[in-house]
Amino acid sequence: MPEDMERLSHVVSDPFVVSAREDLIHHGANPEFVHLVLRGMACRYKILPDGGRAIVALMLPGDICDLNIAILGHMDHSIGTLTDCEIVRIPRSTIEDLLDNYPRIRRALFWATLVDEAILRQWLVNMGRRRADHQMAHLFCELHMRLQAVGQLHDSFMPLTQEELGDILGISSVHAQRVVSSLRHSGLINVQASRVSVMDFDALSTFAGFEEDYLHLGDTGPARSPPGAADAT
Amino acid sequence: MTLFFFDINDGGHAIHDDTGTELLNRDEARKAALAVLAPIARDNLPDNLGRPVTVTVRDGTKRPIFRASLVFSEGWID
Repeated sequence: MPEDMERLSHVVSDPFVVSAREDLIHHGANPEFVHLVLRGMACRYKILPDGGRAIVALMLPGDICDLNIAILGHMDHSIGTLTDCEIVRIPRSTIEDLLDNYPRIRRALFWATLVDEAILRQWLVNMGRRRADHQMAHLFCELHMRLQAVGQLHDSFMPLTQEELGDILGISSVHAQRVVSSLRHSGLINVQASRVSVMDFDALSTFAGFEEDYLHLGDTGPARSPPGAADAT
Repeated sequence: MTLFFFDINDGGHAIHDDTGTELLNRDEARKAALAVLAPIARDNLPDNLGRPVTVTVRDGTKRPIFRASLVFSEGWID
């Protein structure tokens, strides 16, 4: 819808650049802004009592980092960049305006929140119930699909170090290195300077038991009206 | 921080680490080596049970400085 697009292009009109490995928001903060990633990769993470880091979500171009704060107030986790990022800061009041006055944008934000939750569910299953090599292969399949969906699969390389992979998968850095080596040895992925590319997506997804339905990439369209109901769009 | 290399032989195939991992000191490298044995052995279940999982740590000059192994012992008793 033109008025939605116009409103959104205004919202994203003033991006700024953040270097890799910088915090956007700290745990406990009560920020007045919501962050949207336009370029690069950011993550949602928690710091463990022993100082380790657990990465619990990856935000790619188009992803909103912290819609939580528009409703929940203070942050119960931190958000940081993994690569150099282009970020847009959206004031809380703008989010409230979008939610109150733009029903299709509200629906899209709700959709994004539900998909975030679906991804988190999948990560939970993978972390608890899958072998580390299947889990890592599954992650690469997911990132491949998500980057492709937003037209950002440059050379199909994903910038993740073994330490970051370990923090995402809940395994040690040394274990992550070993799993990367074995996936590379099997010809499923290629690695160059801490950047991973998928060599054979079909083989990798078969190996991982990857099913993309949880990403809901195909069902971003308008509401499906129940039979007999008025057109909800 | 110092670079350490972890070569892992899980009985199936050996992986020569040419990337390395930054760690505080030798003791941290030992802990990292010990911590990786059980997860790798678990990943291999139920194959390769008879063969040990071995990790060899090399320091920044690629000289081996530590080695640890984990082997499952199993057998029917009736």
